[in-house]
Amino acid sequence: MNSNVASVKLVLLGEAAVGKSSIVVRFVSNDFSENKEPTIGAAFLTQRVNIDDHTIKFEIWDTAGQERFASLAPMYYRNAQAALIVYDVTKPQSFIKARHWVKELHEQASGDIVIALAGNKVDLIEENGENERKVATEEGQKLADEENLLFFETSAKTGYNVNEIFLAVGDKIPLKRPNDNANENGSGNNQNSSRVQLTDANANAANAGNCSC
Amino acid sequence: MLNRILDSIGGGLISKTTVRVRSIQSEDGTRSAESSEAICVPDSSSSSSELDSTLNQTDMERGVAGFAIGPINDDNIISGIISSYENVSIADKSDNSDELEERSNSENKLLTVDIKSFDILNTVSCSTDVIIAQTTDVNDYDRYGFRKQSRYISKQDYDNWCDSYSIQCGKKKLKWEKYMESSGLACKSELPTRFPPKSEKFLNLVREGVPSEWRGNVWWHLVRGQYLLNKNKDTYKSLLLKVKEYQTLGDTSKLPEGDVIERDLNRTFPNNIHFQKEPFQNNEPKKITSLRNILLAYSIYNRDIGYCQSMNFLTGFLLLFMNEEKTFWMLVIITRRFLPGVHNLDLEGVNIDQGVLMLLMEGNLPTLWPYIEATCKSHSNKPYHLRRTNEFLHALPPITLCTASWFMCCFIGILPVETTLRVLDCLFYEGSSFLFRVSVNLIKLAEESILKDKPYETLFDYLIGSDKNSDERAENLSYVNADELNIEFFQVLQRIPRQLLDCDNFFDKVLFKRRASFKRFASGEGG
Repeated sequence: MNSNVASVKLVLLGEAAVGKSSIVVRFVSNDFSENKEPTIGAAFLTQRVNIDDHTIKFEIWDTAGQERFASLAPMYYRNAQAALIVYDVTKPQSFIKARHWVKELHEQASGDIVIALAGNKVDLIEENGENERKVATEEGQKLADEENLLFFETSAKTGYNVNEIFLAVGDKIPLKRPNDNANENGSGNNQNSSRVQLTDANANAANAGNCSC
Repeated sequence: MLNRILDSIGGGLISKTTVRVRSIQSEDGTRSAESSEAICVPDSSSSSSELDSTLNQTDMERGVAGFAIGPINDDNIISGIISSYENVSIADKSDNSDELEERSNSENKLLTVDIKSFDILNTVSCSTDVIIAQTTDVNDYDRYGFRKQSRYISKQDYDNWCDSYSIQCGKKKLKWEKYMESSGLACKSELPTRFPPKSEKFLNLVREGVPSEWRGNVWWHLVRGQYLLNKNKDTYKSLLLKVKEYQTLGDTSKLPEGDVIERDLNRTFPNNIHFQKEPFQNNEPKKITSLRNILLAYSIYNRDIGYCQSMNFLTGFLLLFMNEEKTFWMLVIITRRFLPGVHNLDLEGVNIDQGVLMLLMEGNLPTLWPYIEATCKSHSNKPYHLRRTNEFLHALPPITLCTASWFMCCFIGILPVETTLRVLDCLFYEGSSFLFRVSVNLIKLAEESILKDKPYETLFDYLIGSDKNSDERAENLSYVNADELNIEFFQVLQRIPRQLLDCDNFFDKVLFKRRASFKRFASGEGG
């Protein structure tokens, strides 16, 4: 097994029905449902990805999108190292909401949080033509440039750019291996070994299949 | 392995892939028709005329369009279904038969396989990830139209359990009938609408489960719905007129929740045939229309709530058991009486209920609590119940993000269908304290599940160290990454309720096993 496992806490934010859960399901199970039931409260999923010589374990908080659930959001992003803000390229309102989330994270979340912006549902444009698009790629790119965000246009339906956006997040995070602190402190060894077992059991239970990337 | 395969089929089914499988040949068809009859009418002595009119009506709506889509030409199946519902008119069949036949034929050309090769096909399609077959076999759905198989329960497990549960249901219904007779209320000839006043005997029967075809009426009786409806005779109608008016005016400011509601309609029970539009249908399913009506009407009826996601599940589920107007008033009763404030704009009720649940956990789950508490972002060292008043409202541990959804949805979509129904039976009799009882017991099951694995046991010893004093314990806690444990626990909490297929076992062995220990909070909670 790979001992270089780093956990990345990632939170998904964005308006209702932009495809947050669908992006996670695509990433974690490589699956897609046309009518995904709305998330109530929050869901938690994990996925491991191997990059070069180490493994990143994404711990993903998938949040409810409806406005009134936003008051619960600080509970997840408080300790998050990464955030994925999703909007729907066919819904201008969802892009405005995405801007609000960027602002809130800059003000409230930890200073070094890595933020990625995903313009989801580009399959609708491929299917129905450019007229369907209501948020230009340049608009998304501009926001990303101004606010120092990673930016991808994605499709949970086709899988387009879904793995890519998570990998880009993984790349950008200053990785702290879970055993870094423990090694400085001899008494921490015992605890460290239990934690390794823990994450293994966790990965087996949570993931039906490994990420193909 | 089987589960794994079935899981991936489930995903494919929901994503509506285009290939359809006619999966039944006549011999199997006869068998399936028999078993579906057994499920529909668990009590063999009762005649089908006793079936709930709602059920009849819904099956009439879907009789052809839903259950029988694939196997419409299989007379064995269709007659099997129809024979279990004498009232079903086959006029619907002739209305659509041309269209259906055409479609069926083209499906036949695409793929015709029998049940055995169907299994193989699925296995193959999963591994190649090219085609995932979809079937509309009546056997894939339960009596309410939900897909039997879920991510956590295989169809086989469902069928195995359902066989014995149906027999139990038949026995229970006899008890109900006896009780009704002894109370001087007729129930043999028609669906009962009047029930005895509350009593210990009545409560025990409810706890054992209401006969499913009576459910709509029993629930309506228990919450005294008719009383509310009589007091507000024209309210629902006039709300609908108002909605119509706003819609024709195109005044979206008057229906601020309209968009959110519309987006959630097709996201409500995509795995239930009553809510799923088949590709060849022009009109949306009737349940979707009713769902829209109720949610829009409610959004202008109660502006403090408007529309909150989860109300779509409550409404959709109730619509399977009662008509539109009654469902509207049930929603009013649930949001007002059973879950006050929970769906409000500020979710105030959620915080209060979850705070109460956390207090109950401290009292009921001493092993688990220190570990939950450690993830609570409050740094007070006092025991939970001695902290500054209401402090916990600002420091709820993250697992409440999971448990909050239990309350908001009354476990709909969280527990398996039949288990949810049993919970609702008791909720409507006993009040919201029952939701706490279920929640605490689910959390207990999750705790057991975590402690069962050896590594965790060690971890728990380490974490809690029963021989250590509280200072030492606090010190130990800081060594363990409590967040990580919490996340583990969150995942178990997500999974456990969805696996509780055997509702008799859950009710008899878990919920009502420790009656005495629950008296404390059960008695404190009103209805």
